[in-house]
Amino acid sequence: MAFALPGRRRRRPLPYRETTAAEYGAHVARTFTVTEPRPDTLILSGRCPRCAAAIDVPVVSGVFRAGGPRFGRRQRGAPDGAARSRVELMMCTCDEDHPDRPEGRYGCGAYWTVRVPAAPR
Amino acid sequence: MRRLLDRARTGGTPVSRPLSPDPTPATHADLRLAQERDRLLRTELPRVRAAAAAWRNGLGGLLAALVGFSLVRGRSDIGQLAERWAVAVGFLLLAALVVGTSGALMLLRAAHGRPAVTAAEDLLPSPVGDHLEALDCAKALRSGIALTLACALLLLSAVATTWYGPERTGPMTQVTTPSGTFCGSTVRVGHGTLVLRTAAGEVTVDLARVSTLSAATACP
Repeated sequence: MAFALPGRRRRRPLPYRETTAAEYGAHVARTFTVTEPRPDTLILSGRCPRCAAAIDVPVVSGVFRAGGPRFGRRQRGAPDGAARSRVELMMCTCDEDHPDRPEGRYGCGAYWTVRVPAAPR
Repeated sequence: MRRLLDRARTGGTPVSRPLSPDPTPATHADLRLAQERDRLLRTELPRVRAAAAAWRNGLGGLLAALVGFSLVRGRSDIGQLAERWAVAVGFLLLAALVVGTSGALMLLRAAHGRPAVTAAEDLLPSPVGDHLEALDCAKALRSGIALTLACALLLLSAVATTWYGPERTGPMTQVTTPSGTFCGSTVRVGHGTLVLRTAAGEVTVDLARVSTLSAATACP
């Protein structure tokens, strides 16, 4: 399972592959920064743990959908209480070129989860 | 208005939210969900804009039909209404104008965005900036719809008041004859007779038999 440290950019682009690893979440938790442009909206910024591309992943509470319910955030049960943190599903959303990437997809195929603390009340 | 034309939002500031790895491994279903959310976020702003343009056209057509079609007919002049009712119609039309203009601006803001300039240091990453703009557009769209429908309601109220409000009444004439007292508005005078429009219909009074004739602001 490929795992690239930040700064070790490959000369040849990684092929698209839908893959995950425990290290991905650990890497993101350690290196990503969190920005809050508005309440209920976060930006997790850092480098993809697989392809090392710089990505900004929005964490939002809802998405506009005309004629249907808002797309809610999927949350998993949090052992330490859902009110204090939530599990965020993340994937690489880079625009870099990755061979074999299906039409209409983004990123290199890496995905992972990370726990995001809720805003202090 | 200031909210419509003011500078765009400021950029986010880093916050202290230490992330931590989740012990539960991500699944392929998680990836599909993340992909679907990413797709919705990337297409969110165009979808809001398209919805706002459709609402703008539909509500614009509705208002044009209300104003241009038969609803604003009836009494063509509110001067024929009783004074207080005419004032009420004036207020309703003024409120419709203000509310309708606000609604139109909101719908235009939702469909085409604000003519605002964002400081370079405040720029947000594309998916986030577009998402926040889409949320603002959706909010403006909802407000625009509500305001435009309120405008239509105010217009309907004004038209209904114009139609069904009481007529303005002029000075009344009250005459006393041996056969009784009559009160009403004067229709015509001539050939020794006075024709009054009373609550019971037109009454012709022989002026030679009138014992008293007086003006009144209202009939008893």
